[in-house]
Amino acid sequence: MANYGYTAIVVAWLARLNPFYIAVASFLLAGLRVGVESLQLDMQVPAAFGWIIEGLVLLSVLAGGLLHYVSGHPALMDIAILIPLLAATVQSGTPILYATSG
Amino acid sequence: MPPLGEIITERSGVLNLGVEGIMIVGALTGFVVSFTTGNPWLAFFAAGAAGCLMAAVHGVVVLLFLGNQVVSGLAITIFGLGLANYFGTPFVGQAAPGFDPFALPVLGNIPALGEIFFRHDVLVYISYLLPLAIWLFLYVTRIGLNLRATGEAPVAARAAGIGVVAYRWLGIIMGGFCMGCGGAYLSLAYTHLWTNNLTGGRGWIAVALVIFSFWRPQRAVFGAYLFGGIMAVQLRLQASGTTIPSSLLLMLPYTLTIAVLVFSSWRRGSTGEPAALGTTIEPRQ
Repeated sequence: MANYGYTAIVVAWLARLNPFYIAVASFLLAGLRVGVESLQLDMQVPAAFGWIIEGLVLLSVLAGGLLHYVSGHPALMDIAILIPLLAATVQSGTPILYATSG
Repeated sequence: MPPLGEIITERSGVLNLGVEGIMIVGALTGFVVSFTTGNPWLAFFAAGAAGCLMAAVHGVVVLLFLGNQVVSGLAITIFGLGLANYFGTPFVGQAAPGFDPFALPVLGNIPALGEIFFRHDVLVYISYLLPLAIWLFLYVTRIGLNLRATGEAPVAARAAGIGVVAYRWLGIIMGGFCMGCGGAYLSLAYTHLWTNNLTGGRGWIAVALVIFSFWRPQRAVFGAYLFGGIMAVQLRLQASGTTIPSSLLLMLPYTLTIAVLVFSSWRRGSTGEPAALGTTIEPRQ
């Protein structure tokens, strides 16, 4: 499962182009990649599953930008950062949980 | 076909970098439908419909949620590659009925030219007519005019009473149909087989081709044959065992596109790039 360049884009946007959040986002996506590879080994789920999730995460982040845009309100902007991060945690955590428990 | 789809989409002012992802989803859908039903025509239109669906996802993000068009397109590429490789894994190495080459009755017997142009599968014959149809659509019909206006000056178009968002949707959906069908050509006529990553970067060549042809369908045809010729030469050279690295030739479509862009900016001419390409239309604008 190569294509690290695409993942870099997902990381950058998940971090809302903020260098500090990059560490968090890249850690989560690294978890997703490793988790998906264990899934492939243990349960014969094609690793391409990880790409689907990455694509969906990025699409959700972009769509979530509307919240940011409509309000312009600082508190809502924080939520706009947190929601995709939370969503990514859930989405990347699921395969990791499967991999560790299975 | 995919470059023509991208031209329609970009002419309405929407950049869609998801061509690669949309094509491969079209290719897989076409392959699976042909594999299960045995009807290549049904498969071809199913692939087009799948392309529309994928493009509609891009449309939702870009037009409804006002997301960034460049990144959304890349997301569609990642998503599409993932979908196709995930659902395509059981079909790897399988063959499906597709379109076979046949000679056109009279034209196929022309010496030399007949061999080159008129002994292909039916999709190639369609591809001879499609650029003309799209040129007519863009430059002769009122809908095409409105679509181009939306891509050039959405604010002015809206002031003139054109439903700009609707026209952008039209551009995205029509483009997605062409891209999905282009993907189906790869799996149904080009290979008849399914392999993962079947498109192998052809979607990106389509994007380069749109720029290379300065957003004009008639030029895209010549560009497509030029780039196709380069790919064919690269295969022949590899087979003949020359010392030229094949990677250099694989680079050529992209280097040519860059060269054309540099050349046109030297001459300070307009490239024909839609002025409002990549902009979002804000509801309160």
